[in-house]
Amino acid sequence: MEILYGCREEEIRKLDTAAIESVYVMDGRTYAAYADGKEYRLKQRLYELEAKLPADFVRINKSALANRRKIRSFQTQISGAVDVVFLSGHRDYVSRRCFSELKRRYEL
Amino acid sequence: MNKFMKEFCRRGLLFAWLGPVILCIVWYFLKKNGIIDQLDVLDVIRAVLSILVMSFLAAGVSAVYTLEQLPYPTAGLIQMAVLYFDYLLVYLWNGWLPLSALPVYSLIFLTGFGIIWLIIYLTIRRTVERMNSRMHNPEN
Repeated sequence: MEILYGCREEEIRKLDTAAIESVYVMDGRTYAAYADGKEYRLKQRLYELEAKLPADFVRINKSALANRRKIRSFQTQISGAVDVVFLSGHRDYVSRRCFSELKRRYEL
Repeated sequence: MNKFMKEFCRRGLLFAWLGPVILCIVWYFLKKNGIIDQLDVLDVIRAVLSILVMSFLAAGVSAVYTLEQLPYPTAGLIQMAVLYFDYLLVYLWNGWLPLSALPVYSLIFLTGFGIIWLIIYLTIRRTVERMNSRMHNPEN
């Protein structure tokens, strides 16, 4: 894995992949939600990161990758949709397609 | 949408044969129990072809769940509406359902659909519980 740099306002810092909670796309830009609660913009595209990040990172929907080690739990909504809740409390949805892959990862 | 239609046709073609097979089984038991003795050729043709189309649509519409932009409840409602009218029109056209039985048909259909949805929901919930358990206790 090449070194990952993230920028936020005037700050550019080296990111420890193990401390990244999730990587997501918003308004066409890629961000990393970091353990310090801050969000850093990344220059790479999501598909590039998916190929380069460690296996702990799993696709949870078309716009986000989640670090499995930073997941607190999965939650079922009354609608049948599934959300992922991170250790920070942030939550994101799991798409139906990615849910199948997640089940495989958890050997279910 | 093109991708959706391809998936619709793929699913429809895969399972369309099931309808006529079920129809044959129903006819067999009706005959065995002395309820029907013989069938008119044109009625058979109409029944088999309409059931084939009905099965194609019923199986194909499940492709709606592949549209990620649609939330589960919306996809479920679309599937329910298509299945309801799909079955209803074929039953009415073949004369298998008198109009007076429409409320009973609707009740049975909605109850059946509700039960299937409940089973799906409980299955997802159980899977999620197992994923959480596996995540916190990898040896489980």
